Amino acid sequence: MSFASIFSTLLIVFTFFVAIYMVGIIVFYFILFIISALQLRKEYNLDQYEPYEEVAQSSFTRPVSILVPAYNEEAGIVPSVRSLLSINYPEYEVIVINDGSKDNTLKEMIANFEMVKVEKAIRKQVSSNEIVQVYQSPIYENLYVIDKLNGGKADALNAGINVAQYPYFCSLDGDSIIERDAFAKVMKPIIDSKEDIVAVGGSVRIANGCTIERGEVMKVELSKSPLVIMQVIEYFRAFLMGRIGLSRHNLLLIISGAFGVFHRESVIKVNGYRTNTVGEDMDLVVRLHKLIKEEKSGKRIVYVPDPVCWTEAPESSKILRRQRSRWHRGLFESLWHNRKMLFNPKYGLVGMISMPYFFIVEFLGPVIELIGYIIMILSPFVGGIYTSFALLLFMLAIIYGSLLSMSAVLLEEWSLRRYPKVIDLVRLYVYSLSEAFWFRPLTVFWRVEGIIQLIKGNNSWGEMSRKGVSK
Amino acid sequence: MNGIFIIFQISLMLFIVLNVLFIFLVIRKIHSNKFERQKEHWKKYYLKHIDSAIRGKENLVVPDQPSMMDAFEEVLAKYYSLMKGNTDTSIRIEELAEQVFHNYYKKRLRHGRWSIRMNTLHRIEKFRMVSLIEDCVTIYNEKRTSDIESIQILRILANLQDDRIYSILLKEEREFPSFYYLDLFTRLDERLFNKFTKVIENFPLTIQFSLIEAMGDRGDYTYIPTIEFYLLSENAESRIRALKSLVKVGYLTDVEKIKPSLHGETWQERMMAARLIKPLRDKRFIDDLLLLLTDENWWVRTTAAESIIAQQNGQEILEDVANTHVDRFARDIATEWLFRKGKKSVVR
Repeated sequence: MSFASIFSTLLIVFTFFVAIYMVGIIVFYFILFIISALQLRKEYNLDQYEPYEEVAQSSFTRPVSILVPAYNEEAGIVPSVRSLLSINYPEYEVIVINDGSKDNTLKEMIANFEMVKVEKAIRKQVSSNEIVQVYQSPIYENLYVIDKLNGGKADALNAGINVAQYPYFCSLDGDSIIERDAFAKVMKPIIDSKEDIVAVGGSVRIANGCTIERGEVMKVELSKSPLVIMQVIEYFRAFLMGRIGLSRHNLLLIISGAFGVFHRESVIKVNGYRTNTVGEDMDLVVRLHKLIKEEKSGKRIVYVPDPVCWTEAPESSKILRRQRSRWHRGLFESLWHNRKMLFNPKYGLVGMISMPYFFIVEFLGPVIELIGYIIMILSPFVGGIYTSFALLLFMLAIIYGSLLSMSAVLLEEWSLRRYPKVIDLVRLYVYSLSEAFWFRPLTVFWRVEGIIQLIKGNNSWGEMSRKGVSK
Repeated sequence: MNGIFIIFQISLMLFIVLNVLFIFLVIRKIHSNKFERQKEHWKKYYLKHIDSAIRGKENLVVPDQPSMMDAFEEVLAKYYSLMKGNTDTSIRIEELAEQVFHNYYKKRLRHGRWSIRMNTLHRIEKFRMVSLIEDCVTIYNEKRTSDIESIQILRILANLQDDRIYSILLKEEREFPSFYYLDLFTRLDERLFNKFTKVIENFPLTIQFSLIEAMGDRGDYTYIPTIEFYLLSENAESRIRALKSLVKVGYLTDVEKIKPSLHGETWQERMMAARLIKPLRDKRFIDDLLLLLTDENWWVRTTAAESIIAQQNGQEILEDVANTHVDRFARDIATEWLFRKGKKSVVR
């Protein structure tokens, strides 16, 4: 067999492999899309305030501890905390965990909220690095700061869990802005389900371009930066299309680290967050699923689209690239640490659908897509029938990259409608059309890069520079 | 080749469909933005004139188009919230709401979309629209009605002190989250609430639990005998709820009744019993509390210590425990509470 014939056989095999893979995913996504559309439409235009009034005001509501891990967040921590102190919820405490910041995070907190040292007996239920001091604010008595030795975000959250005193806790990023009614909205499913829910995730939206004053989003507008717009579309795709569909069947494996509520006792049962991973948020959810299945408690993990938390997205490709390869490593670690669950019927649908989906589509997907791109570039040179192979893959890539994203944009406009301007909708739509041509390939490269780093054994976080979202 | 052609056709079709939807949504957005502007205009108008109109000094333009209707609805709801407690004004607002919204809401209660029915139910609750109660009760029994809608209807009945809430709940087979039962019971006036408590045992357990808690929440001494009765219940959850309820009242007639609970099987029961001793300040239980300091559960130990330190000579007792007790857990928890009491500068 000559080299040329081996090459062409390989080309055919790979083309069909990639094509079948992509058709499979496109079908899967469209199913999710339909489930989501029906769900979202049911709640279309539901009053933003009335249904949550009793949750927000009743003294029978479950209190929540809000944990805010902060590492070098001096630029954004104070407005974030201010917005937390004005949320509409009857009983809660805010615990900022200063994870050994090298900047003035702690000083900013002390200066702005007159924090004073308090003695607090801490019950060590999950392991964490040493807590140096606990502070409390005399102005806002439900505001605490924990000063601890650096140990990473997961470790900071574990320290927070030890200090927290309420049955539910919420993990929140130090630089994100939460809407005032978000807690009532995120707790409502817990109450409605007779507390059969161990974790709830809300939506994360991108704040770049919005007007934010004193820790509150005043005006929602789309950023001008193409990279940011693409991320906005990506979030629509992930949250509105992916998570609603998965959540309906209790298949959800990710609750964003930026905004999620957890049942504290359940998290303690699984020993809190795992500290030696960059994907601690997904890892926790996977282990909670494991606990549910092992205890046969029938409890659920859900996603609710409406409560929104606004966060700053990276504007430069350099930082975005780091973020994406880091996320990809995190994804792998969560899958690796819990590999026992993969294709294991003992873990029900989570073992048989969610885990394989995350492994094949989310983790290996970029590699397969990359092969697809290579074939697209190579085939036309071979000529003849191979040119049409390239065409086939190209069209599939457009459906997968652009058409699905366009659907996600339209779905958002059809249901939640957070962007009031007509021009924003037009821009979102036009940009989503372009996704397959530049942004999708870029993220594929970055994620493959993450896989390469994994093989090389790189575990660093990559510095994230923040400029602070609030004015 | 065929496959490629099919995929090409599919993507082309999808592309066309998406573009048509896009154009439709853009047009809808332009319309809805225009609608919002009109609504804003009318909101300003109504905000300016609502006050004098309610006092009967002028007549409002009656809403006759959707944007006016929405604007009027929002303004009236806001105004109503501001006027809470002012009975005369409230009654006049309710009259106005009946006048303007009756037919509109009646139709919307039958709407196909869940969110619209839900919003309407909330408005009916807000404006206390007695004239629509019959419609709501009819909907309650329909198959399409979701649990959340049913709960909202019950809430409307509770707010209006309508006796039908009693007969509905007595027959209801569905079990709602206890949060909502508690919410309903706090809305009832004494007459209707007592109607429930008199026949408490005819209700399903979840409702009984909520009633026990609601009785404590009212803080009324007349309920104490009923609550105390549940201290001797066979059901652990009933006992826990009764203890919880008594903690809120801070008093009971026969303290001996809580003794078995101090040694109950579940830690929640032991903890609640230990907590109840704090407001009672009854010396007879010191020995039981000392025993609970060595409990396997942290919550029980800490509550026991808290109740001891609240006693007259509690501090000395705990100091003694901290220095001499054989059990390490007991010493730790005693030290912690002595520490808290002495040093904690900010008390919540």
